[in-house]
Amino acid sequence: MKFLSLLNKELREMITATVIFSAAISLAAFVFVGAALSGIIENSVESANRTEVNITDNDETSLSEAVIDFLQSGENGLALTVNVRRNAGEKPKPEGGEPFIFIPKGFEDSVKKGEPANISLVRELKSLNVLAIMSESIPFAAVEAINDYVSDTVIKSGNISDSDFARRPVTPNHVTWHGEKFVNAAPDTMIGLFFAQSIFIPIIVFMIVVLGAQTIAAAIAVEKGDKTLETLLSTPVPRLSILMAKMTAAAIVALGMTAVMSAGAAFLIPTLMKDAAPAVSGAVTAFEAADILGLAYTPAGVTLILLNLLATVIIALTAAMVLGSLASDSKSAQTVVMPLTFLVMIPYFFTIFMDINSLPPIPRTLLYAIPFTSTYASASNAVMGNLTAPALGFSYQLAFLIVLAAVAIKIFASDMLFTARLNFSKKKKYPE
Amino acid sequence: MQQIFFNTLLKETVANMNYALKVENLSKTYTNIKAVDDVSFNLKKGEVFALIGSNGAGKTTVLRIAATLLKPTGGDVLVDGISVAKTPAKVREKISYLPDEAGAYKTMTGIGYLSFMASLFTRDEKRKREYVEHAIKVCGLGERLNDKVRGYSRGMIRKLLIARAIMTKPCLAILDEPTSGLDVINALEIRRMIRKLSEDGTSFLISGHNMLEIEHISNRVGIINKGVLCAAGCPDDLKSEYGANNLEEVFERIANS
Repeated sequence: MKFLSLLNKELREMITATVIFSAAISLAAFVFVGAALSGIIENSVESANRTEVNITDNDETSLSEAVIDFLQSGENGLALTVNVRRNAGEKPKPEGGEPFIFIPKGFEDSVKKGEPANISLVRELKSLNVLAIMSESIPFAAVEAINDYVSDTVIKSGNISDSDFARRPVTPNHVTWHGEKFVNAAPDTMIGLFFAQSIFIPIIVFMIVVLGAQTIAAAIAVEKGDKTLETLLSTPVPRLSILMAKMTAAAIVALGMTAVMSAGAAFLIPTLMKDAAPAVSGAVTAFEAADILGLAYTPAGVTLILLNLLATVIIALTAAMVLGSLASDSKSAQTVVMPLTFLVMIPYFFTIFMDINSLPPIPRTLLYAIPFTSTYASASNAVMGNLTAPALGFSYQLAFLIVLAAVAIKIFASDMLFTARLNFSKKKKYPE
Repeated sequence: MQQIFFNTLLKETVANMNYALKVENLSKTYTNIKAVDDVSFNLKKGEVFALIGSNGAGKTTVLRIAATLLKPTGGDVLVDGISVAKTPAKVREKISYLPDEAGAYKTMTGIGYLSFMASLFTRDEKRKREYVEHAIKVCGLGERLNDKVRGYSRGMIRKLLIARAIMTKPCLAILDEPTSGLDVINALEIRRMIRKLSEDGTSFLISGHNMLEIEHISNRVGIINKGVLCAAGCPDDLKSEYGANNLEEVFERIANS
């Protein structure tokens, strides 16, 4: 019975309305992300399961025709609709960004000579996210079906001098286009490389927001609780100086943390790169492939990424300071910062899985309204050569920061610091 | 006409300068709660004025307005003739404020804290040293000033904070319940400290609800109840006016009337 009384008291202290509010925000964030992502993933799966496959036949021989007929016949078990294009030039580009299988000249000759016959899976690198790779299972299945058909043809001809060739007479190559450039490599190798290079950005943002923002919010709340803030505000020091000192200190701490994280990333990235480098197709490595396509971090791109990152850190810490200054105590300061953590998580999930720019206008605007979204997308945009997006993102972040700083100044210059409370569990308490 | 206006203004300014504090028809409303209602009193230089009343009476609100932390809804507070409502930044150069149950930065040493606070009042290193030396003398913490504040007792922190509050020799020191939560010996030492400092010329606006204690250190007191200043004067005058033996009885009669 005594235990139950104690348990009741502990629960009452822990489950406050602030905690419930934060949990509700968290739930809403997950539901929003889940709903948005499920639609996107469904589209990708649908796209991956579609029965259409594009083939460009430059060989125009009986074997290439037979291969196309086989794919169209339904005997392959794939029930495909095959769109055929002929005489597309030596290095054809994907039309409308659609991937296609390219049967080059000499395909039949190679099979007849008992040499591996090349076909290419040609794709366009549209974005650097995971779902960009997901929608391409059908071309792979079609390539396997082509190999099976040619293998059967070779075996039926009875002219088998090399059993390995009989089992795998077709060698698929990967060709990736980006703009007017192409490379003999699969896009996923470059996506993997990009992930290894940019993975430190969400780690840094997470660490700073979770650790830095909570620390600063709690520190302000403690200073308020200890009434050292009251003492400070009654001294002949401009309020703006007090605020700026806090924000500058927060930025210095954040920069220190960023430096530590970046140093950690400097050790981590080469390890991840080792895994990325062997994923090669043809003669080029992922690094070389990215270089050929012009997918590189330029000084301007890196500068924009760093500016976005810095703005994110300062926005997060300033927001934490505002929330902390309105919290009733250090315990609730930890809780009121939670929604900020979710604002950091939501764009992170989206940028991993999809190209935000391809979203419908309303969800896209909502996502870009979160001042951290631009930072996550900045690395991908910079590598893809789109510097306008991170530049606009940084401008928005600056505008957001100015508004946030104005709110902070307003709070520090008014009664709000002592009268306003972000405490949902109780009615406002006023000083006597 | 112009000459008359300037003469009147000069007279008023000189009159205001004789007071460390003038509270004029002060009101403060929080949404629909009137915390302070048309309060007026004044405090001569070198005087100790105590606001007494029960919890929630409005004492802290008056002190916070005088300390420029809250803005008045009506009326004004003049510190050494300077308006809190109009020029709070100038007022901050004249005052020091010690909140009720305040703490100090725990990661600093006592001497470090005094030095940090002194640096907020002056850029001049010599003057800063003078402030710190004055505070060292007043607080009486000796060698313990080299220890981190984290290890201080409540009484030691209070002594440190009072020394900090008066080290700049402000025109007005505002102390919210300076002895609350302290044991008898520490409270006695702090009362003596305030008494001595006022004799040296510092003006004090203090608050408290221990009326017997307040009676010993104040030149004048104001009794505040539900935001209204019900009576103000010397403790002896108030006692004879209300036929009471002490301030507690005065307050009881006012509260019941």
